[in-house]
Amino acid sequence: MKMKEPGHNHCYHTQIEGAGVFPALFVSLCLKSKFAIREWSAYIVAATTYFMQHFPLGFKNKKGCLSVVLPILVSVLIHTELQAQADSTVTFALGYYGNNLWNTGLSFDTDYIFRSVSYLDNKGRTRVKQRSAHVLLGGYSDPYNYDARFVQAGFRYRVIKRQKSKGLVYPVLGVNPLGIYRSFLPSTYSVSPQGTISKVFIPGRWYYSPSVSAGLVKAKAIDNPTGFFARIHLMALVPYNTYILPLLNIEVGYQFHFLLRRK
Amino acid sequence: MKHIFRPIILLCLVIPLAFSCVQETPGVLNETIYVRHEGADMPAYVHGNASEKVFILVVHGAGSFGLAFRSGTFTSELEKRYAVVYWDQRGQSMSQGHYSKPEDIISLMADDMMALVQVLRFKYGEDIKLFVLGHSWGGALSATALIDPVNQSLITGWIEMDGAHDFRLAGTARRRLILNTAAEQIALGNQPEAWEEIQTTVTGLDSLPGDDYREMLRQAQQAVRLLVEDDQAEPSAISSEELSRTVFENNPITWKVSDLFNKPFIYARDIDYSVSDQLAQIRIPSLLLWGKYDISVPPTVGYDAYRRLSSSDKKLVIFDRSVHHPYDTEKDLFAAEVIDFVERVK
Repeated sequence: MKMKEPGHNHCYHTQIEGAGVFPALFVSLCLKSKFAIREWSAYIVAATTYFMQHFPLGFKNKKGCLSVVLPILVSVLIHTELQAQADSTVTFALGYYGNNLWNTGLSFDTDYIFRSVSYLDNKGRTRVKQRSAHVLLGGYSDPYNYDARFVQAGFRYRVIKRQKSKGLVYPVLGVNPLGIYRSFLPSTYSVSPQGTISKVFIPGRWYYSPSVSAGLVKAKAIDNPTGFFARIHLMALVPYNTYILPLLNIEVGYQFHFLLRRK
Repeated sequence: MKHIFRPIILLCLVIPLAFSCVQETPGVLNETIYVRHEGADMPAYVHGNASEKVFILVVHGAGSFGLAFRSGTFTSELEKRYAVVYWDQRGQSMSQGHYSKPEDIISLMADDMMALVQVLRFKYGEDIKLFVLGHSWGGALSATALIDPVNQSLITGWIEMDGAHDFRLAGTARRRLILNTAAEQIALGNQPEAWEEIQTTVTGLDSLPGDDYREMLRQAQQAVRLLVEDDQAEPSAISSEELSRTVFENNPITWKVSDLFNKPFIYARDIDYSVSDQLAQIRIPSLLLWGKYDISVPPTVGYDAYRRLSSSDKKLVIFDRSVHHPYDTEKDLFAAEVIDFVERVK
């Protein structure tokens, strides 16, 4: 699949080789819109259609949830990728991701700022409010019990006070309504009601995993957010046993800034 | 480029933490397996010497977890001789899965235990000698499983430690034990005023589950505190080894949240669960271990079980300075009794 450069803001000409591979996406991208919400909707509809066609499980069984959650995550990725072709700020972050601090893991995050507003507060100081969309891929290992991998997508909100001194520290709040989590268990033996024992292939469980996060970024400047960050994530695994399981995770890392200019 | 090096250094420090290695000794097991049964994935931590193919399956109590037992004599004595299997029950601690709340949780959990027994035999051989050690709520579960003769045929011996296999009897005996202990301590001159206060309060409480249950437990805790203060019972202290297992090997948040949502013993308490009438069906060798001052599940329950069991090889041991955790408070005696039983029966 090749994508040509965008003609103007929020308007893309897309050429797809091998028509039929991704027909639904092709249709959706042709629905050019100046309104991001319609654009997002188009992606989601397209990707959902595609996944429902290729993985027609629906909600008939638990694995069918994949065909609903995955397209939404894919939509976020596609949206971020296409938007990045515009003149925009994108950060990529790599970090230590610890469940309960000591269950070690790694995270990779891409964040696209889609809205940035500067204004003067009552005291005449410049403030900047930013909203961004991001996708977070992560995993950790509980060495005595299981490994986990997850993908989450959502939004972040920042309020930055412009400072005269070099560098600045600002808070970031995040919400990830979309998330999917897979646990990977060690050797697992399944016992059927009839007493038959079999070894489970790739044992583990899928969970829906939304989360909220709060953290700090130490950046170089407002328009150059390269720097260290630290975040606390409160993630929920649903359904876990008969109800829900909250997880407290920390993330510490470094984010790289790329200013992508439209040609 | 300077800013590139900081994250690289950070990663170099972090990545090695993600890996660890364990030195393996022939015949010694150190592994975690999971058992999937009826929607639940339950971990079993297998540690110890399997050279003689003797396995002890620990069935933990309410609100506890398998690895909580893995300290003291379990590691210093039992694991040296036998393989010990520390199991997290359905909905407890590190168990996970998806399933709706079952109607008969007790039978299902007893079936879970037998599913683990089958897996152990499948993985380590049909010729393993398997002992089940049930503590408190685990005693109720193991008793429920073992009243089935088919299940008994897979188990070499049953060890029940302060087992709650009769909630009604435990309730009435609890009240009686507190009053008797109070009278005994007053006669000895040990903090008579405090014991008289307990005596007065407990006399006015109903022994059955209901509005008085929490107050009865509060008085029980107070009684235990006085016994420890007067050196009548050994304190149950948390060792650094136990703390390490609780925090690092077992996820404390997962443990407590799982416990919050899954309390099968409350269901058992509310229906006055009892398998006493069926204990006569148990014919395998049995060892009953009870703390003299166990106010949670008084020794009366142990005496009653001893009387009812049909086993030709059965023994009841009362630990004179223990409350509810004799394995923790009288470690040497506990280890000696368990080893003696296993060696005799295996």
